Amino acid sequence: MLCKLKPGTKTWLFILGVGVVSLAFGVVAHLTATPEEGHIAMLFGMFTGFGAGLMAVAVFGLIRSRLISPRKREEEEIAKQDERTLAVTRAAYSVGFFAGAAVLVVLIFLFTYLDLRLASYLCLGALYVQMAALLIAYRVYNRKM
Amino acid sequence: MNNRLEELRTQRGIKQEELASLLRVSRQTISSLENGRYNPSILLALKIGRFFGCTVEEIFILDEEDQNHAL
Repeated sequence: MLCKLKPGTKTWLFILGVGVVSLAFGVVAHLTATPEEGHIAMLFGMFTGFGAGLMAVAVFGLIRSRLISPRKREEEEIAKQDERTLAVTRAAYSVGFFAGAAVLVVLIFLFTYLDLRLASYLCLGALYVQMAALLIAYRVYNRKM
Repeated sequence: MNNRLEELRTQRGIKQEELASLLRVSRQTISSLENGRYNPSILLALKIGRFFGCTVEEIFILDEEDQNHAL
């Protein structure tokens, strides 16, 4: 049955499902949290907000995929596979990667200055993960190309 | 790299949108190619060549600077 759906519908349904699960988990967990656990309640609130946000995006996407004209859909399909668009996206990702790494480095110094060691170590860990991902991706693509 | 894409397209009386649709790329790609802001992949260059009935070298021309880099 899912095969007969319009293109992209499966993805929106998946996002909607994740949103529903996150929202339900957030609401139920928030109701069962004890009042002393303020930060945990806040975390569950974040799950609720995250779920609601995903659901809103998915519903908007589903409605749009139903209403969009076939010509516009074709144009969007072409734009998605357009080689210049892909090149622009890759260049933007590169800039985003270096901006993210720079922000992490600044945060490590800032958190150390503020004596927030755990946050500092978490940022350092995230920076190592980012660098490791870069190295692995480089090696994989170097072998492929 | 210079190219004769705009010249060939206008000779045939085709709009950028039409050429883009035929080659299955965006109109912005055609515009960027014509302005020399973007160099196509070999695949797209071959498709363009086939569409206009020319070789790739007849459409895309290496300028002096590119040739010096290549040598």
